[in-house]
Amino acid sequence: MNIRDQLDRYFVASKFDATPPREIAVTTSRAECEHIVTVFPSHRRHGIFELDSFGGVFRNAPQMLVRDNAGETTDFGRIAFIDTETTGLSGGSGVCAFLVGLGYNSAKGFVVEQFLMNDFPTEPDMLGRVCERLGTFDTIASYNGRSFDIPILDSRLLLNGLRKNLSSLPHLDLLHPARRVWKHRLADCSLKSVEEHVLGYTRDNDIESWLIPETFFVYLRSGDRDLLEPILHHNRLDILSLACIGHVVLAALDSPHEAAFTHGADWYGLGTLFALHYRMEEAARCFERAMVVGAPEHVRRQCMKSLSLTHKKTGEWENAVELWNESSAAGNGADALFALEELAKFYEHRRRDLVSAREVCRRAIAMLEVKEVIGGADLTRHFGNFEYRLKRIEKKIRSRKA
Amino acid sequence: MNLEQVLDSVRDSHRFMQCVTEWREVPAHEPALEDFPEYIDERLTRVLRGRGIGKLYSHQRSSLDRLKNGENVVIVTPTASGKTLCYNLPVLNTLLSDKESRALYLFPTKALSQDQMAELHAFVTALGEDIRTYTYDGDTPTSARKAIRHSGHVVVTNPDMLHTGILPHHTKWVKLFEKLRYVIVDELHHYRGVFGSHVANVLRRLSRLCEFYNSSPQFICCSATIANPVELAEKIIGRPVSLVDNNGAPSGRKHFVLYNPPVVNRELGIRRSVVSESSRLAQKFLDKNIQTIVFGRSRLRVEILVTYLKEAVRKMRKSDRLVRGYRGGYLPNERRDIERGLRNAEIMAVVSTNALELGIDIGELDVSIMAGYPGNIAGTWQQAGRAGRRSKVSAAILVASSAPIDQYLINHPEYFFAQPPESGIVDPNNLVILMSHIKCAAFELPFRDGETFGVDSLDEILKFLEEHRILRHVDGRWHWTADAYPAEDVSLRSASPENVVIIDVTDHARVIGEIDQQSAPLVVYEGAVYIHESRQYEIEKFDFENKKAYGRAVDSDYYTDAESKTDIKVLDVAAQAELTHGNKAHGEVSVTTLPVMYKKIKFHTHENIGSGRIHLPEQEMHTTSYWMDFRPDTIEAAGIAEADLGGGLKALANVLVNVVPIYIMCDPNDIRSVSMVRAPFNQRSSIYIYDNYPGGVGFSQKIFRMHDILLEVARELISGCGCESGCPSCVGPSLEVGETGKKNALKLTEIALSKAKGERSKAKQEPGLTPG
Repeated sequence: MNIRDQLDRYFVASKFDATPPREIAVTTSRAECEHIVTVFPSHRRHGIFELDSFGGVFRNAPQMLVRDNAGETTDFGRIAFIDTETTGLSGGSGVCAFLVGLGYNSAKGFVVEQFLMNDFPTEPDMLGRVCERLGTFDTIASYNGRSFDIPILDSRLLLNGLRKNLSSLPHLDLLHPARRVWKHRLADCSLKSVEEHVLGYTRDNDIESWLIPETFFVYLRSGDRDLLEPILHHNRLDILSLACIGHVVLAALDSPHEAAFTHGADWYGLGTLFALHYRMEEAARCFERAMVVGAPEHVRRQCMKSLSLTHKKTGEWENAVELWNESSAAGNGADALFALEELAKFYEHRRRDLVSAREVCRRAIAMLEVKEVIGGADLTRHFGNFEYRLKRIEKKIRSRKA
Repeated sequence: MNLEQVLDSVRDSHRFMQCVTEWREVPAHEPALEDFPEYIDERLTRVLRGRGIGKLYSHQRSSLDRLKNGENVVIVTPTASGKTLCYNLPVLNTLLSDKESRALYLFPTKALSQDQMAELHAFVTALGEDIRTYTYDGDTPTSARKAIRHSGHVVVTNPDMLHTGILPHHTKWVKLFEKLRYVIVDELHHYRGVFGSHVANVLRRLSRLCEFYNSSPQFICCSATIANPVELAEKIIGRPVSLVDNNGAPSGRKHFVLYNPPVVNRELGIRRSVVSESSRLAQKFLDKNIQTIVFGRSRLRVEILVTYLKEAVRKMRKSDRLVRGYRGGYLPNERRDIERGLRNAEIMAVVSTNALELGIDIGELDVSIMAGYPGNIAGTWQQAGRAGRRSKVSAAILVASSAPIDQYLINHPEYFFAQPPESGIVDPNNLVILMSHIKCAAFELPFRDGETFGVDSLDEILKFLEEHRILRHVDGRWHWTADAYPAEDVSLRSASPENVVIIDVTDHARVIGEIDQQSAPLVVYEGAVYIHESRQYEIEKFDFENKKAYGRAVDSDYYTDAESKTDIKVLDVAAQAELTHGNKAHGEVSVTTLPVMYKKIKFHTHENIGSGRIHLPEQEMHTTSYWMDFRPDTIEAAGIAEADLGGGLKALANVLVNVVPIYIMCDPNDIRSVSMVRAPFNQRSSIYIYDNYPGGVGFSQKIFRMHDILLEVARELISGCGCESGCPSCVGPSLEVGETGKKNALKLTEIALSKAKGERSKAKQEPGLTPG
């Protein structure tokens, strides 16, 4: 049996798509990638976002979100927004980015430059030009680029013998702050979902992401360039949305009081982002706005808790106690227990009002006893916690009397 | 009583000695020492001297010198001969002079790599230098991985992780690949059959990447004693190696006892069961607080032995925690716990499958009892070596089962003490395996025109892949064009990458173990009794599609054993030789297997107490097979009645499949036999022995070549067995092969061995993918 017959016998039936391949495109040895430039004029809107608001110099975001940030501030016009389209999502050195889009704001409007690898031989040219272009900016911004796009580009640079390393450039990955801010309102924080619910933009006839690799492979075999248009369009929209979201985040971090958030959940999210970076003042103001604007019950409860903790950290005890009193009176859930514990700590250690501390512990234990009768979660840990605390407080009271 | 005294007392026992077919005392071995070579950094010699190592054993010195000379080496010395130093020393020596260099250690199992890691780490700590050694495997936390990739001087891993986790991400491992100086392949003899054929390809991929990064590492392989260490090593690493086998390590006196359980029924050839005999022997030592390891051939045998021994220690009024089981399918922390217990003597007896024959550190045990021949001679010595690793007296007892190979070897001790007969066979060019790795390699780095990947047919295969849209050929390179991660679909250890998990639903669902998909239909069918940590679970449901088996804890007095029905069809003849009686041949076949029924077998008495049907789909496989057939006239001339022919063929097939492992290292699952009175292929009475893996891994070709010697051993085995008309120790019980099965099997061997005009070989040109 020759090798051909063996191959057919072992593989065709089971594992591979056995339809005959289409005519294979004649490949050019032209080693230059395709370069496509698109300008979105500043008078346009993207959803509810007006492109003429692009611009400005930001201080907080770069300090909070960009590792190895060189400058003190970041000029919006010096940020390159990047997004790639790849031949797969699995990772590994066999996955390559066949399209790299870079967007930036300019006097003409928002510019998207796309570098397209129309076949494998043009990959080194594409990568080289992308690196060169990125070199003219201060910061890269992306949506999950730190763990996806940039490692792929770096890997392909290495495979093509180009010793450059994009992961060392200052990088603002917007996925993480966006998640912090919007995860309390949105089911998922994919770019598409944020674009729809924050920017109010809905795409028509957009190509599904999972179809992109296969579409590119079909293009390679058929040479039908029209197949790529939907991908190019999709990539441009991704970059435009990315820049808009980027601007919203940058602006909100620099001037939270001016942020145009209309949902309490978003305010709460922004507060948690500040709290994460130990900016308690701003965090507290955002939490307060969230309470004023109003949010779904579970978010409101979380918010109250977070707010009380920021007050505690900044030493605004009065405000904290007020919140804990409110929570502990509101029910017998986990939040009430949390509030009672905080109150007990406050009276015992801060106010040194042992009688009040004892009262709080007794209330907590009574509440737990009720909960136990109703049944449900295991309360052993909570009982132990408050009983231990109560015992200690009573001992202190006794020794004080003695 | 110490071990010597216990041994003396059994030696005085007539009943015991009646069963002993050989009691060999392997004398203590004096060390052969040599000086440290002058090119070894004195920081290293200082640490070694501090540990009482003032000189090297001769084999350690030889490997250092060969490596210095730029050669690749394969080191073949017994267990506990200081093999580890043969690679740790050159690696550390190089690292001391060049801090940028790197080494990659490969061990066949995760457990073993963790253990070696501890040893190396201790050495480095004593050295006080900044040399970073890390384990990189499935258990390595994600947070630690980046540091390992960048700064690990020595990376310890296993072939599976290299295959799925490192090679496909080689661009993240630039530092390792660019400066790779040594690749260590320990326990080389484990890389045989399917696993070895895969590993050879993984190393082809590694070599290709090293070339890309301009590094050319030297390979250091270590192997147990086998017939062809150099051939195996060269096939696995794809480059010439130099053999180091001048063992200079001392060893303590060892008693090696071959024990054949007494016959209880001569006509049926039934001996007392290997399990109960081994258990009784183990109790003798356990009773005197002598630390013992018992090896069971199968999962099931291990579990039964654990049950028996736990019962026994309870009768001795001791805690049954003194006895533990150890095998694949136990969870990792469970295993670590047992290893620790052995080292600090909290566990006095452990019953294990060959999982512990590897160099996992469990301290020095006194006695090793093998409940049945471990399946290969290299493994026997490794299991025997788990007792008495340094200078103490120790004992190894091999208890024969009634399996034909056990019965043959227990009466032919020369196989253990003379030159090792068995070869490690791999076929890196198995088309299914090769194809998988060509895909992985193309994903890792586009092939360039003119590359070979060790085969002539690479170009054909790449073209085939392009036609199937996996690759794109442009400007002299073959690029990966599929949205897939090919390494994920390839398991190095079994035909399918996915395992069936076994879920205990007694209280709330919990996973208790797993099993590879190929074996699952014969182990976790509905009605099967699955045993784990000597607890029994009756399988209630086997969800074949979703790869889940659900069991409920039961307390039954039986275990189950499955049977299946097999058909075979010849697709292509690779080589054929006409003999006086018919033909022998090997080639490609299609095998269909259908699990049919299972038997319920009672514990202790082993009686058959019931059966059930198995309802699972038929499985088809393309593979390679050896076969022989008989011309009708030769059968007639020998006077074999037509009605008895089937039994005779079955009988001979049973024997043949059992003698093959004496010469070819393979597991019982690796080859299968089928006999047919009229094979559809040429209407002749035939016996097929096929490779139990898609595409075959070279066993059948080797069997074809060893045809004569295998038949001679078969003849000797059948005629040497004392039973009347067949027993499990030769041709199989007469129930299975008929009253005349044994007699006719012998006649068939005589026919097959009759030499007339010499063999006229009609071997066809071998296809390019099978090595000549």
